[in-house]
Amino acid sequence: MSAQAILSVDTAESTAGSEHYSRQQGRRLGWLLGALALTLAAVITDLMLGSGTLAWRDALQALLHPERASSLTRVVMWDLRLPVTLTAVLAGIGLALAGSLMQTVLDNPLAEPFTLGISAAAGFGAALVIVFQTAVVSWLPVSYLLTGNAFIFSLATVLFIGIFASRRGLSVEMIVMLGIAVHFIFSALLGLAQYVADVDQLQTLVFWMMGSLQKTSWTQVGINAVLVLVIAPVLMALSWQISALRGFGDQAQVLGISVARLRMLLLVFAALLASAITATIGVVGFIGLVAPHVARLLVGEDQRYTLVMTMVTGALLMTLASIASKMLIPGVILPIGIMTSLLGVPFFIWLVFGRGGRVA
Amino acid sequence: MLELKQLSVEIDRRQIVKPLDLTLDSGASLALLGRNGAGKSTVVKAIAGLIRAQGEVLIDGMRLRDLSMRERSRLIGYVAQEFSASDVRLSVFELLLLAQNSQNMRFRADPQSLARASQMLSLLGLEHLAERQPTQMSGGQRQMVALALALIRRPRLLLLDEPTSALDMANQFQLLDTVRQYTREHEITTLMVLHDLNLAHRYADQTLLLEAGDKVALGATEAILNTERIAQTYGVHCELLRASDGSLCVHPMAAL
Repeated sequence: MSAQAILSVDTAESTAGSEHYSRQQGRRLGWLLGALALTLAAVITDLMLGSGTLAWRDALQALLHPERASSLTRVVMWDLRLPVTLTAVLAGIGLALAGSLMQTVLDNPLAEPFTLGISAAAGFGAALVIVFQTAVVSWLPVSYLLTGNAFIFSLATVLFIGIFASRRGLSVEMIVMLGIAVHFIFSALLGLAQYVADVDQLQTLVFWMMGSLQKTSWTQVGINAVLVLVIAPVLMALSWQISALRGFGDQAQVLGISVARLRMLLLVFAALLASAITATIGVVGFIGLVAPHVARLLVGEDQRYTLVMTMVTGALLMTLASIASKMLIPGVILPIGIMTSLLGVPFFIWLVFGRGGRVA
Repeated sequence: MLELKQLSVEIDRRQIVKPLDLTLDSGASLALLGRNGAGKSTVVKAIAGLIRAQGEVLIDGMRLRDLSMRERSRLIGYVAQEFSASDVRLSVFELLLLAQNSQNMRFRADPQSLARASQMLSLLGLEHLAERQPTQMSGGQRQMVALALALIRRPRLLLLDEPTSALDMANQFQLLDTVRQYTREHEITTLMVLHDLNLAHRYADQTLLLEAGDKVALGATEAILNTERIAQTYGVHCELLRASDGSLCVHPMAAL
C-alpha cells in the first residue's frame, strides 16, 4: 500500500490493538490476584508451623483474638512466629524489588541485589563487630551494633559506587566492574577477619552470613516495613518512567525522562532495601535474581504490573522457603538462605522451560 | 521554525561539530549529508538533547535551553538508525501508550492515549503489528514502529538519524513516503541524516552538506548536489541523470 493510500484511511473510529490490550490487562490482573491469594495462604500456613506443638485452632485464635489465648500461645504467636513470618514477607518484597531495580539500572538480566558488593560489604561490617568488636555506629545500643554496622557498610558501598559513577559519567559496564572490584576487596577483608577469628567468633560470623529469619525482632520488622511502605508507592508512581527506561534505555530521554537522575534514584532505593534486609537476616540469594524474572514471565514488561507482581512473587517465594525450612527436618529450622535456592531453582527451570517461556 | 545559532559540539576536547547556523521553515525538509564521521548524527543528537552542545536551538522562537525536559520532549520526535526498544518484551500497542504516558504518575493510562495509539496504527497501516513485540518483527517493520512512536507525540520537529540504512528498497520508500505525507499534512519540520543521495534528491527540499564537522554548503537539494561537489565531498566521480518522473538520480562511476 502506498503512503498516500495509507494516510487517507479514515482513522477516527479505529480501535486497532485496544481490545487485545484490555484483554491482556485482565489476564495480568488475574495472575496478580492469583499470586496474592497464594501468598496469603502461604503466610497463614507459615504462621501455623513452628517448632512448638500448637494446635492450628489455638494459633488462629491467638492471632485473631489474642486476649482470649493463653499467655504461652500468645507469646509463641506474637513474639516468636509473627515477626519471623512478617520478616519473610518484607524480605521477599524488598529483595525482589532491589533485584528488579538493579536489573533495570544496570541493564542486565543477571544483576541481583548483591551485584555491587552489598553482601560482602555487609559481611565485613558484621565481621568488624563480631571479630574486632568495633563499629562505625558505636552509639547504637549493643543489640543493634551488628545490624547497624552491616547496614552502614553495605549502603555506603553502593552509594559510593553510584556517586563515583555519576560524577565521572561511567558506563553501566564500568559500574558493574567497579562493583565486582569492591566485592572482591570486601570478600578479601572478610576472609582476613575469618582467618584471625577464634572458633566462637567464626561460628557466629558464618551463621550470621547464612541468611536466617530467626534473628529478627519487631523493631526490625518496623524498620523494613517503613522502608517498603515508603519506596513501593514512589516506584508505582514512577512505573511508567521505569517501563520507558527499560524499553528505550538512554533514548528514554527523548520522552522527557531524566535518565541519569532516574537511574540514581532507583540505585539508591535498591541499595536501601537490600542493605536493610541483609542487615536484618543475612545474605539470602536467589529471590532478588529470580522473582523479577518470574514476574516478567507472568505479567510482561509493563512495570505497573511487573513491579507489583515482583513484590508478590518475592513474598511468596520467601514464605514458601520459610515453610520448607521448618518442615524439611522436623523440629529443626534450617537457615532460609539455604532453602531459597534449593526450592526456587527447580520452580524457575519449570517456569522457563516447561511453559515455553511465555505466559502473558 | 527551527533555528540553530552557533550550535557546536565538543567531545573529549575535540570539536566534532563546528559552530553551525541554520534556519528552517515550518514543514520544510532538510537532508544532512556528508561522509562517515562528518558529524551528521552528532548534530541531530545535539538538537534532540541526547548529547551536550554549546550554542542555541530554537523551535518556534522558544529556546530549548529555557524549557523543561518534558516541554522539550513534546516538541521533538526522534528516530534512530536502530530501534532502541528492539529487545524489550512490550507489544507495539504498549510502546505507543508508553510514548504518551511517560510522564504519567497514575496507574491508569490517559484514555485519549488509547484512542490515539489505535489511530496511529491505522494511519501508518500497522494494525497487524499491534500485538507483536519488536523481537518478532523485521527491520522494516521496526523502523515503521519507531516512526509511529516519534509521530504519536505530535512533535513540531522530526529528527531522523539514518532511518533507512538497514532497510530494503521498498521499505525505504514506504518509510520516507509516510514521513513526507505526514509531515506535510501536519506542517512538521523534518531533519534527516541520509547516506543515499538519491533519497535526498527525492525527499529533501534542502540539503546541508557537512565535512569534518563544518558546513560546506546549504541550499536547495538540486543546487547543492552537483557532480563537482559530490566529487569534492565524497571523492566519487558520478553522473546526474534525470529520471522519467523528473527527479534527479546520482549514478556513481568511480572513486577518484
